[in-house]
Amino acid sequence: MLFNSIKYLVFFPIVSITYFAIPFKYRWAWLLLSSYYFYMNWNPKYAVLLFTSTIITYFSGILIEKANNIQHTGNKVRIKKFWVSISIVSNLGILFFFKYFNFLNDNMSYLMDKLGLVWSVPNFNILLPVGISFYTFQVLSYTIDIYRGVTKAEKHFGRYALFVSFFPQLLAGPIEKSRNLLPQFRIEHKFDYDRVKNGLLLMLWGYLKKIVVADRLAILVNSVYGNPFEYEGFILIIATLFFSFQLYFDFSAYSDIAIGSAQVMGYRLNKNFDKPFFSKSTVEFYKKWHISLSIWLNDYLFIPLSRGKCTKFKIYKNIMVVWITSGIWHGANWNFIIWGILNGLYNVLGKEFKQVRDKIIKISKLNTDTFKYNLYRIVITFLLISFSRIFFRAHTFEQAIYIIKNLFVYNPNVFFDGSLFDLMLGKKEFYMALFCVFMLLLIEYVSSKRNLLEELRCKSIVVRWSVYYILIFIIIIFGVYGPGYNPTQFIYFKF
Amino acid sequence: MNRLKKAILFVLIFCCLFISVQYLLMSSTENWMRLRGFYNEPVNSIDIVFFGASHCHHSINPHILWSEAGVPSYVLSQPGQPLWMTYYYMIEVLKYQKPKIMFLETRYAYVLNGQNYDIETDNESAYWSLDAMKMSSNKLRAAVASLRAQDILLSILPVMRYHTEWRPLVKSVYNLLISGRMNSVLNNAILNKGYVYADEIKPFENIKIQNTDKIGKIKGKNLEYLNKIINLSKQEGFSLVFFKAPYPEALSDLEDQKIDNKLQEIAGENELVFLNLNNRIDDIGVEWKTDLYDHDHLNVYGADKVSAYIAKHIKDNFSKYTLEDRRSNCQYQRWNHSSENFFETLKNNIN
Repeated sequence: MLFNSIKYLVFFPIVSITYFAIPFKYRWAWLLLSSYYFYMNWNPKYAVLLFTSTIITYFSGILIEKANNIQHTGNKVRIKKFWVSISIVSNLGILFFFKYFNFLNDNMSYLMDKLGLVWSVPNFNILLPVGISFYTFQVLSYTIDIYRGVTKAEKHFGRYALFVSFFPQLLAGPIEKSRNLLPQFRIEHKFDYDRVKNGLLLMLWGYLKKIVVADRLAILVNSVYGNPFEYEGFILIIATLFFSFQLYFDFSAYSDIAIGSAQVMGYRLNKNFDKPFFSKSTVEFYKKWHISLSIWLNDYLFIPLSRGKCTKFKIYKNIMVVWITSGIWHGANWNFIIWGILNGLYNVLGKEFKQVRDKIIKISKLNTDTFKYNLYRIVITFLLISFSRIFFRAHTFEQAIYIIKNLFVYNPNVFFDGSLFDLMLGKKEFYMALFCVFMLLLIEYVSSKRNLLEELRCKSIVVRWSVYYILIFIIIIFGVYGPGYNPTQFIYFKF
Repeated sequence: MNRLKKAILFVLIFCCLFISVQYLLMSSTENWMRLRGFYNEPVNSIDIVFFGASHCHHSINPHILWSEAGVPSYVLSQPGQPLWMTYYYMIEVLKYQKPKIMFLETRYAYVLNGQNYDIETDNESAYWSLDAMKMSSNKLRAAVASLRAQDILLSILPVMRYHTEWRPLVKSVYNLLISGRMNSVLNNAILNKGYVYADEIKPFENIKIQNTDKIGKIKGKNLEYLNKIINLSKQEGFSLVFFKAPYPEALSDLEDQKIDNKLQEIAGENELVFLNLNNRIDDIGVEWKTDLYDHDHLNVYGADKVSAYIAKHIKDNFSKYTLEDRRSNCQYQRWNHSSENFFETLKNNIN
């Protein structure tokens, strides 16, 4: 079920009103039932996969914890390792089969063909189970945390199944750690007017970002990236920059709606974005972008890899491993791997040249504490990130290479001959898109300095309600929806 | 004010705003205003209502009927309007008016006869007809009869289709706030009484006239709703008159003529009048060289002749239809003013 569908607008009020109306002891069951219904709305068969992952990690969690009671240290460690391995291998196995098998098979076939050998394993005609990368990472973090002894195994199967399938964050995160989310299912959340109101407001903000901005930008991006070979120069640049914004407003909208939905029912999910477009380096950017994935990769990959003596080379190697994993996590496609490598290189080169950069600044006595310098860094970061996203958005490697080769063709005539407005997004809509991006970034900037929500709370009812109505009617009037538009999937659903 | 009351008030204000926005978004369309103009007529003041598709509102000018016969009438047809929509429009009319005659332009007994549902054209014409209808069980039944289940929501919440054109909304709001009036489309609809005039001339020549006596078959949904319309006329006690507007193709399309013959048969069985105007082209005086604005529809000159012919038919049958000339009735003086305005506007527009 899509958050931006009429179905969800009916589903969510029914679920949340019933949730508060029924006694606490039945709430987990109601949410579990609702979450499975939510998931099965997309494809009922794949609920089996979700359930399988739940069962495997539920029992492996209990068995790992049980192994802690074994007196003999050697046996204890061995048994714990055995069960955590079972959990990791089986979950990654399912993920691999559904997401990466065909990719690997194609590459093997290509390689064997080059070597003059025959490789005749057929591809599977399977649909990628939506949200599989997200819930797989979530359940893995659960078993690894139990293995590490930082969290306890959940004995209540229903609550655990709910932790895995909780509908607000099931399809595209935030990837929650069990120690944050599981305890919340054990507490009774009463109806709190202010909390519900703030949750709804966050959802509203998310809908505005998705329906008014991201889906409007998507029209031009899809038009250009659908057949990039027809375009060059400024059109490719504009489509790439638009995609950068589209991806942000799309994914952060999803996160806002997810966090807001959970908040209405009393659950606190972790923040997934923290105004990334104001970052002054790519490292800072990814600390503020898809935060829950960055934390997961850091906690369960980078830190374990960095144990022991860390040479510069080892750190750089680990950074590259993490980024390539991130690329593969996003999709079974060489483009994503290249995207990961590119971002890894940004990180490594940034570290490598930091001393040189600092020296230049010192020698030139450049004042780095100025608006101009900070703006320069923000713009450079944005351009680097946007550049890497060519690989993220292009359908094939050839397309990405074509776009890069033709990115800097100087063709200013597109601004005057109308071809810029001939990309499915007319002139009026094009300027509307730019205006929306500017306004949202401005609001984000202001909200980083002031607590706008709190300021709004202190205003009179007329002002507050006017703001709510304006937001709602901006979505109704200026949103991209209705016949001719299918409710567009959130981009991160496919990962 | 407690929080529950506040929440209810919030929703109520939202509903009012939503309905207003939806109204303003649609208010620039002619199709929407045609029905709104009808709602605007004083209750029980209309004696004749004309139904059908585009041929109907391009052929009948109620102001000619008024000036020639003194009968207040209104044209309630939308482009591509099928018989089932006409049936629900008739029920809608009966909520506000007690017309003595309902004229049914019969081209769509042929056009959609036994045809499969076409999402593009059928949905569009259904929306045109449904959008302006006030919310009621009749509107919902009309939507269910006309649309696929998944498209019904789009007829109940037309904002989903209209919001992409937000410029008219800005214009409407400006008109309302600054000059305190609705836009000119409503004024036109009220003035035109549903008639759509076109002053272009597109000559049509070389008509290959053919005739047949064979009787065709009206099928499926068309037959179902034609019967419903006939039954409605009997139940509600209004006279139902079939008529077919003139268009060149009707003179050569034998399949079309077979349906006309069937309609003649049905009319006979139910003691109804069927005015097939394509058989009376010479009497009416329609000239294909001067009276069409495209290959299929009459222009203002053709419509004047057809309306005058219908007016004469009505005048000749005043007692049969229990009608009277209302031109001297003081309650109908606004019709005299309205007609004067209409002809004045028409004269200016054509000049």
